[in-house]
Amino acid sequence: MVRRLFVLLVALALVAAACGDDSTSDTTEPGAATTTTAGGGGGATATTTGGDGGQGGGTLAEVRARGVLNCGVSEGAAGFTNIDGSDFSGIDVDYCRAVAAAIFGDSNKVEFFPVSSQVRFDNLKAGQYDVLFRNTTWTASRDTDVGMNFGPTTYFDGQGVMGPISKGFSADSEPEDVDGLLLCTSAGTTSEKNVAEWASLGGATIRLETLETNEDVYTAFIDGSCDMVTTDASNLVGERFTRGFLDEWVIFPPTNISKEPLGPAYREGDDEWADIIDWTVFVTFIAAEKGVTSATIDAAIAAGDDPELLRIAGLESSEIVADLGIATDGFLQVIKQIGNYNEIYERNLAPLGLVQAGSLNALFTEGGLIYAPPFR
Amino acid sequence: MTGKIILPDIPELEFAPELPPKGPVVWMKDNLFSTPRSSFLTVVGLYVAYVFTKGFTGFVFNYAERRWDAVTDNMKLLMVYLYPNGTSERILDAAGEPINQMHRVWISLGVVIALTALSLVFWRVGGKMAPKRITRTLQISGGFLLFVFLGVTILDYVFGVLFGFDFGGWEWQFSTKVHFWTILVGVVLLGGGLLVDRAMGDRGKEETISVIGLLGALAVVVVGLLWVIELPRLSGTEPGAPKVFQPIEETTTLPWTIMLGVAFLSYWVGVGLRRVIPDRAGTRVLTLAWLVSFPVLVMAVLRDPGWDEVVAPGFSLGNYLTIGAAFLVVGGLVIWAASHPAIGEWSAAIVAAIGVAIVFSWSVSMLMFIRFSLFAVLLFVLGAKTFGGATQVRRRYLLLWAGLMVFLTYFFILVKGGNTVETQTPSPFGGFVLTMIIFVSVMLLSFPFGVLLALGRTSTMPIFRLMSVAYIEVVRGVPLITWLIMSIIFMPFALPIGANVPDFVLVILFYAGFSAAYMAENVRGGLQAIRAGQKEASVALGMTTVQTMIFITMPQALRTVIPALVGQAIATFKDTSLVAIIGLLDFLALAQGTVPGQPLYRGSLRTMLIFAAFFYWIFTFSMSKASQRLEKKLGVGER
Repeated sequence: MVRRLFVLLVALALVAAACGDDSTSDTTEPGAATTTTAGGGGGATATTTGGDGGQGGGTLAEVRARGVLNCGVSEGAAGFTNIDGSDFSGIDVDYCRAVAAAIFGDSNKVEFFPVSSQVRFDNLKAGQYDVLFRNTTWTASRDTDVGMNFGPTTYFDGQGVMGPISKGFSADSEPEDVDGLLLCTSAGTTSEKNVAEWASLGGATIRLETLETNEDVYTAFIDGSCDMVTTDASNLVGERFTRGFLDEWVIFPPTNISKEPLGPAYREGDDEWADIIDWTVFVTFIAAEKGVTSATIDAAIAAGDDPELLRIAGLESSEIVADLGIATDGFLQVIKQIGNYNEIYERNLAPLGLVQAGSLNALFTEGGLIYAPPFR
Repeated sequence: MTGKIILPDIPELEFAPELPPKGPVVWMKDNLFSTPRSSFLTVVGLYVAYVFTKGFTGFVFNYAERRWDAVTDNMKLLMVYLYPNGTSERILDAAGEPINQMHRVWISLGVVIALTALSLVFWRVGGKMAPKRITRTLQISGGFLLFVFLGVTILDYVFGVLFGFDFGGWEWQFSTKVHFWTILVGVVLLGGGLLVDRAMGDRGKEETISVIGLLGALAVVVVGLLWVIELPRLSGTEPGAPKVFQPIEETTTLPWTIMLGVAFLSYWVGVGLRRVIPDRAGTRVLTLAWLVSFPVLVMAVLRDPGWDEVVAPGFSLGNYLTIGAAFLVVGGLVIWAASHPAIGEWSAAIVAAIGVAIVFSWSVSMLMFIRFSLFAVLLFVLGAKTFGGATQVRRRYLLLWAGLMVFLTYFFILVKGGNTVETQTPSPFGGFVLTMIIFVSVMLLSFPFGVLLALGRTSTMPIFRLMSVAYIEVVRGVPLITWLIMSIIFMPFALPIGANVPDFVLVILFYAGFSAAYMAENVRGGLQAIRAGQKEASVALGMTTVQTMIFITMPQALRTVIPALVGQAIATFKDTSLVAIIGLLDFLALAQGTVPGQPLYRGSLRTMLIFAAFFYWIFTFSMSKASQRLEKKLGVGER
């Protein structure tokens, strides 16, 4: 009997000792919970219906407690997310870093989650990352989908058609020029539907062939078995450049067939978090508009003749920046460490042959769509 | 009737009937054109081989858009992903210098190589090989080259020019120079092989060449080539830049040379050790070393844990050491008592008490370390009856407990200590390292779990049987990919708040659970193949049920199902590539998504896929070969 009691006591003592230790260890970071973004209890409901609790700044507090921004990016998309043996780069990666710079004042405080297109939204909703910059098209169905919101577009893409000049195509070819010709595209994109709509609106019929991969499409296009190819214009421009057919292939029609605005996506219901993402993007636009770069921003502020710039830098009416919940020099750090929109574009997309001037991605002052509300 | 049975003398045949020598024509007549039907099949087979070889070799060696530079330039990315190698401007130390931690990767590889070399010695792998096998390999490769470069050209000419057929496929545009040299090499290999064969005669069939020596020589040649050959690299940073030939960088050649040295050194050390250590002890130590090396390499060497609050918030080294020591001592006392021969019914009381403690530990928030340690105590108390008895045996059992507890403490400290290898990603693992980590962890975890499930399913106790059947049927009935997606998307909701479990760990746990269900069915097949007589005999000898299972049934059952288990291991190895879908960048994800997504290597998808297929094949083929060896050694299929 004594022995049995002894054993029971030992077991209980162990349990008691364990309880004593526990509170200091595994459960010290309620803020770091990956799921309960929007305050309150029960994780699952909190994220999906987060609207009511969101104002309190669930995501921002969580990111601060974690000390690092979790950012969803692509596993490899030229110009947008590029992973080589040592580093991440690309326009999406730069915007992740910009958000980190705004929150922490340090563009390195970010962890990247390369994610496939199939699960990118589900993982965002599950709280794996705080914001998704993954060349994602903003569409109505995605926006109204439970738990998703989109920020300002950072790259305006659109579907185009490309054909060789030798077959009589030109930059202003219209549907009647492609009547009866064979058009190739890769499987699993919305490209086929768009281009069929475009052709039938113009009264033309085209023959469509869907090949398995992008690679197959260009192989068939180069050896002439396809007359034209169609996909996102950025892809067409990039392929034309990297495959060395800059002077032989031409992209048409003058206005794209479809609209593909690519930008950030975040969880619905956290307005404070949405504001931070949105205004980080807008600040890069405004800086570009003013011609202020990462190199010249210090001088421009020292000159002190632009009140909007001073407000962005948090030196005048600093409550605007402070109300967003970030340090007053947060946006100054964005420009200093990442640069303005034009710099980001030049760094990542220009090397691929994606010319900014004259495209939709030029500033509104130069005929493009890049436009930000005033910072005041 | 005690006389011997006398067998009649059977005269041995002294001379085998002499067969007439067979030339290649006779051989072809016998094997390829014996009947009209076989002639037809031969022609069709040759035609298929012709089309396939032409297309495939044409792509690999000569197609204009092949991009083998994408493979060589991205080798580091494919193998270890973003592991810091001193080239990132964003991963800096306190002094502002880029951090290079590649030595951790090489140390891990070195340990694996050293253990492999030692294992080759102690398991006495290798032996002798007949020269004829080598000359035959030379002949076959020479013949293959001749078929590809001479045969296909002739067939091309015959079909294309004379008959006007165009069979499509890749452009066949080797230069005359390439043709000449390749055909010459083919002739030398084929002819040389035949000549040596002829010269050696019957001596060629004697097994005189050491397999290990041959492998060593091959390794020396390959590593030597790294220093000599030059690879085509892009000359600039913009796409489409012309290629120039450059020697392989020293960051590759030097470590591999060291690895070669490590391999040779450990082999010779092993040969020396074998003289003083019996094989049995050696193989036991090595098995333990393999098991321990995996978690230590992954968690300590590759992750480099930090013990401070900055890296691992809420972690306290002191707490873990105290708890570990407490379990070691108190748990040891309990196990000592439970293994006492006179314990009798008391052990049930101990088990019940620990059971209550376990249930309690999972119902309140508590360190995982304590929960798992309680499980370990329970396991040891349950096993105490089997391993209990004489004081000497009990002492050894206690020693085992101490060893396990030390390891468990160490392991949990490693897991809880934060990762200090900075890669800008949630976990520092990716590429082939991640593939290997997932594969090995899944196999290590699913094996014991699968065996338990198999035992449960064959158990006579309905509750265990029902639970096992339910688990196996539910888990097997859902596709693996669904489980993997659930591990990432649903687990965050199911885990206790604050449990920040890395994605790859969740994936491993789910995958192991899935694999265990299949493992259980394989093992069950083996269990059912054991005749009832075995069990009855062991019971008659006075063995308990557990002892019968551990010492009689299980070893025989597992031996029977080796082919099935290896098949499952190979399938698991390949299926690790499914983690790409949930955003873990394993080897295949990098090869088919990331590398072709780089601006410099657009259009390299086909090349990367061929490389990936070849790379996976190397490993699966080795596994298959190793299992064949094991089967032969254990005599599977012969009894």
